[in-house]
Amino acid sequence: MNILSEVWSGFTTTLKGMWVTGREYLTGKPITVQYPYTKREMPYRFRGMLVNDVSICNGCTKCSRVCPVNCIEIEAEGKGKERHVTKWVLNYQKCCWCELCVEVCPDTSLLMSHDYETVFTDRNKMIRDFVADPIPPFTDVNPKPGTNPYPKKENEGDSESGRAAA
Amino acid sequence: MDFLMNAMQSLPASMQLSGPLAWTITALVAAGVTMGVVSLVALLAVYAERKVSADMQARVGPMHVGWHGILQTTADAIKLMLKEDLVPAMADKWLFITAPLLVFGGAFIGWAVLPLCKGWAPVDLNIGVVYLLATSSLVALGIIMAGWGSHNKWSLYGAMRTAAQFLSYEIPTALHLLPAILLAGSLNLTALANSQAGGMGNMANWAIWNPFCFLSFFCYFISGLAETNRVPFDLPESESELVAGFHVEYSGMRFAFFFLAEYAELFLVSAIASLVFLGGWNGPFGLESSFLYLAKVLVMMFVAIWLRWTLPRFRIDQLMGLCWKFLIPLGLINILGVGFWIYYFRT
Amino acid sequence: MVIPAQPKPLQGEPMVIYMGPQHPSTHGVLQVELHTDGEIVNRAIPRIGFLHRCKEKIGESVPYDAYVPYTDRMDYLAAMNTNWAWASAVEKLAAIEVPERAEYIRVYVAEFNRIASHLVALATYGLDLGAWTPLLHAFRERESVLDILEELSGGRLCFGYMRIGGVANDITPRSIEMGKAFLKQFRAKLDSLNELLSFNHIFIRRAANIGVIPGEQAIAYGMTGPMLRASGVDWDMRRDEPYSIYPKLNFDVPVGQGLKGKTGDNWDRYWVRVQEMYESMKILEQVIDGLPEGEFRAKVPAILRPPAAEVYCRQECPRGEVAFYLISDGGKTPYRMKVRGPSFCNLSILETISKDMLIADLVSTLGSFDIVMGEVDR
Repeated sequence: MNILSEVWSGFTTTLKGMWVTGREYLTGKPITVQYPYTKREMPYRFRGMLVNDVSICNGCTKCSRVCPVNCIEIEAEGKGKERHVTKWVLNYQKCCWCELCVEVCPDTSLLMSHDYETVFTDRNKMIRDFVADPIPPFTDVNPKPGTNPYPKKENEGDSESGRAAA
Repeated sequence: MDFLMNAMQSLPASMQLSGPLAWTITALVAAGVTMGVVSLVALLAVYAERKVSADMQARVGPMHVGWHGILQTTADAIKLMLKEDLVPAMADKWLFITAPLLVFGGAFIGWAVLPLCKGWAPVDLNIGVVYLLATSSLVALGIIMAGWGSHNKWSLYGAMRTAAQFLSYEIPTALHLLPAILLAGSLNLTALANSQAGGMGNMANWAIWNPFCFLSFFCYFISGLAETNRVPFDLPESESELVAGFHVEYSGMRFAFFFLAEYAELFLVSAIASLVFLGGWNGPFGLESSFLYLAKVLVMMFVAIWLRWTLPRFRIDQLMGLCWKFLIPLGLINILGVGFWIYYFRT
Repeated sequence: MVIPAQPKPLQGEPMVIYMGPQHPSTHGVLQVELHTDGEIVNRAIPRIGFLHRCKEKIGESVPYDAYVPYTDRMDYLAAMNTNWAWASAVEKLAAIEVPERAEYIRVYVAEFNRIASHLVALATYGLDLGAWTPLLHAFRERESVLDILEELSGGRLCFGYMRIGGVANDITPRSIEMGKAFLKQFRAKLDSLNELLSFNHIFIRRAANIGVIPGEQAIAYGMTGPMLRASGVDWDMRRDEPYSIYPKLNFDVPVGQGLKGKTGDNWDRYWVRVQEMYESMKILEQVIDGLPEGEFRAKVPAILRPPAAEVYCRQECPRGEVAFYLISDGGKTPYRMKVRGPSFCNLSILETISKDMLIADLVSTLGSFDIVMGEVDR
């Protein structure tokens, strides 16, 4: 009686499965984060929107050379310490959030922020000149790659360790 | 609830009407009430399905429309009503438009004989069970029409699967209701439930305590799930194989009709099972209440939802095998067994 | 006398139906051309190329280290492993010595990513067969794995964590804590997932004895990874052609034994992946215990110009062997590069084994292949 044994084992394994889902129903806790109302805490190294502090940037073009998708366009003038950027354009349409540019940046001007709400209402706004349209100072930034995000105390808040540690 | 029904029955008398007009008014009011109940049940069942599945899957489900998302299904219904009415260019327009109505109608007219509360049904038909079995076939016809009329290969597969599945599972559905009907000696749903009253704690006479009916109860429930297209028997619409099966091309209100029909039918199946096997409104400690009946139906619906979120789907040949190799032979054996039971223990 | 034309006898013809590229269970933008006779599939021809992004040509125009983000987007469910395969290919080409701590960190992230990838594989396989809840239970576990990887790399899907000569960031104490906490509770979760799906009778009947691939055929089609092992071929790059620190680690290689049906059926492929997760847990426990101190990244020149040479480097990724073939002419970009994607080779057998299957079985078989279209098309 093949069919009887199959029905029996189908029945028992179904009960076992119902035990698992029933247990989850009664004791399980949801892990959902109701996004626009509650937001999850971003880890230290979260790679959000790329931001550049043009007052520090000296226009060495290392970032634009390393960029795999060529999304950075730089024009700079001056020699030595006088050197400063006159145009630093980032194309957010192309940027792939790989953090390679931040890694090669000799200074702490180029960093990735923890801002992940990358919504633009206009396509032209996605191409941003940081000299003409400077960003408000970001405090919540990602530490520079390769550095220890926990400088002294291991459980320090992540927002302070960013630019300071880098 | 009982009060409402009494008021409704005395409505024509209070309006001092008689004859065909009174009959028409009563019928229309009864239909309206049933329609309202069906819609309400479907809305709440969809909400329950979402919430129960969310709790089983470490999610929270709908949360934002109303308190804990209680109005989410209403909002969805409004959205579906406002959507554009699309008929594919190559579709058989006539079939395409009538199919959802037939499916919903098939599920809805079954409610005509269903007692909505203790001892009262819109139409107290003496062959209620036969009527229910007959009308549920309309759903199959509607689904086949939808699949064929959509002019889509996936929905055609859905329709063909429906034809096979519904026609096969009509038989065990009927066969497994028969043992309990034999015990009660009636085809009237109200009489079936009333025949199970009495006994120890008002529970001992439930049909389910008969060993043959006990098996039949589970088999009926399985066949009922197959008739309502629920997982693990949702082959006609299996979304991972046939995209959405017979309702691939449907959107807006027509899709909502299929959706409503599924839950209306689920309620119907649960209600029949609780009336025929679980004593309807007869409950423990001599209680007799419509709420007890409703509670049984809701528990059965919960089990159906629970099963849906636990099991994977059958394959078409396995589905047929379960029906023809197991459910139908067992149904015949059960009928025979109950016959002997009645012969030896009742006479 | 004119003979009137005889009416042709009534006959059916196979129905051609295109499954995909927008179909819920083709796992991406795969198109399968089905020649069906009723529910029976006479022939199923996979058609690929909907996600082609010229990865190999791009590889010839960007510097070696800048190609890492591109490897993320190949096998996007196991980005760490693909990253690592690329990094190790370049290291082999340029003869760069990788610090031991970096190797430990690499194994740490790669094995976590293997768990995450296999969780998706079995979850979506359950979904293909109509079981919803295992999907969300598996994704819940995957979220905690991704949290660990995000803590290290800053990304949740495209990690971009490997660098030529090491990794981008040092491992953090917090991520090790998270890893330990995860490993502690994961075994029980996996067991309950087995109870819910793996040993469910309906699931076994849908998966066992279907899509059977014998061992010789698997080798002939160049299949690798869990698909090859499920067919009874005991071959794992981590053990048989060891790289990195795998020789130091103690783990078993699960092989399909045909527990519920024939060896090499869908259920075996599924079960090999489940067992591999248990083995990955073993590896991770050893890695956490044995993590040495030291550098996490070797000193590599800013612009890497490897000597003119050619190299073929392969690694065991969750889906099989990912290999990079590189020719360098001494410049800062490769002269030629070629990717061997495991999903591409694994998918090639679909047409052969899908003869006279039911449509539902075809979906089940395709699901058990666990393909990632980003890597098939590249």
